[in-house]
Amino acid sequence: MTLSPENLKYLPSHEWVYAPQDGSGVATIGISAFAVAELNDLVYMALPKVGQTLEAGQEFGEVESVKAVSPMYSPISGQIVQVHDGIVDRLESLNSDAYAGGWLIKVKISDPSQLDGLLDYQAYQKLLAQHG
Amino acid sequence: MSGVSIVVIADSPRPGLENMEIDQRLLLGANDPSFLKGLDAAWNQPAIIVRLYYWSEPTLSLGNFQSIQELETAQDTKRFSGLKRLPWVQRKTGGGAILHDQELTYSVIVPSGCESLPLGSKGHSERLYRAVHESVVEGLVAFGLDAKLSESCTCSFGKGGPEPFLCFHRRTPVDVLVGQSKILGSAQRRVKSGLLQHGSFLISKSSEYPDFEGVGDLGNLPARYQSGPVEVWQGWLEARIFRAIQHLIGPPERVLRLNLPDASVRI
Repeated sequence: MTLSPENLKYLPSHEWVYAPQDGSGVATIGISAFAVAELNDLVYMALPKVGQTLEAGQEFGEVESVKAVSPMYSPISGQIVQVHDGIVDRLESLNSDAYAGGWLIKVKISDPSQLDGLLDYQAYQKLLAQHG
Repeated sequence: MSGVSIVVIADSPRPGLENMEIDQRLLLGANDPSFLKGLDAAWNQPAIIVRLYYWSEPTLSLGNFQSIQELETAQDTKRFSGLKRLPWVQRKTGGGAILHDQELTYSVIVPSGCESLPLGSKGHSERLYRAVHESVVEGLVAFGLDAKLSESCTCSFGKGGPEPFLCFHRRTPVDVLVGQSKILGSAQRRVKSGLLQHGSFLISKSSEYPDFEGVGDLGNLPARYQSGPVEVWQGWLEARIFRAIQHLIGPPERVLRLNLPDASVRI
């Protein structure tokens, strides 16, 4: 299973999580291409530090676009093991790749069952269709 | 939320930190009717909140992602080193730094459950920016001023250099200009409970940074606006914002207006 939109789970607030079945227990988190398009002209992003513990639904960072600051939420609980710090200096790259190259944090999952409560690709696409 | 109510707070001047803390409390409580019970014991539903206020002393407010260290190196503030001795506060909204002196600040808080003004969960609300700013333009044009939306952008970040430190040196397409002078800019913040829109309306030049003209410097206004107290503009701006929100949501189910002439009143 590769990190592509079809293989991800989503929050309704447009964060995605990729949890490979490789035994590592580490999930990758980012924001969807739809969110990047909605945000429009990203100028700043703040990401957390490695070691921080997150609860599912908790804010893990902020992004600014069009003078609006929006939070980003963690789909799962766990401890942050890696942060894509370099992305904050080239946010424009998210426009072309919000997934494999546009990941934001990696988290050691503390409760894998939380993944079952997230939207799969089809459900997320349905949600986007409802947004029009 | 069925039917939308509006609470308007005409506030008294307060220090910067208190002003920002009040807006944050209103935002985080946007979906909690019990929070509004503190203002009116009979209140039992979320509401769009409009707050008009000014500042008890000249104060800089910095955008969410700005640091005060940027003031040391910013090109646009070099000639006015006195800005460095002013008190400052961090805003939760985006954009550049604002000098709150000879100006009015407004905040609009929209609860996330407001069906008449759906917010989504990320990014800005263009409708709210435009509605408020177009209403202000309409009011200024009625005074005979050359008011319009900027329709231009200095969004140079990542495309050749940083933007100016001060918000009023920047341009976004919905900023309000009189002639070529920006007199109103706004910024937003999203959280789960709703959206906060801040805006700054320049009344006249500040001696702390006289490069920016206010609306009173830019045309012949009716006498009460030319030389009247700030409360005259507070009432005018309140009416323009109220009109903008009505334009977005239709007639409100209920309106509560609070006039707080005394800063000892806690919100």
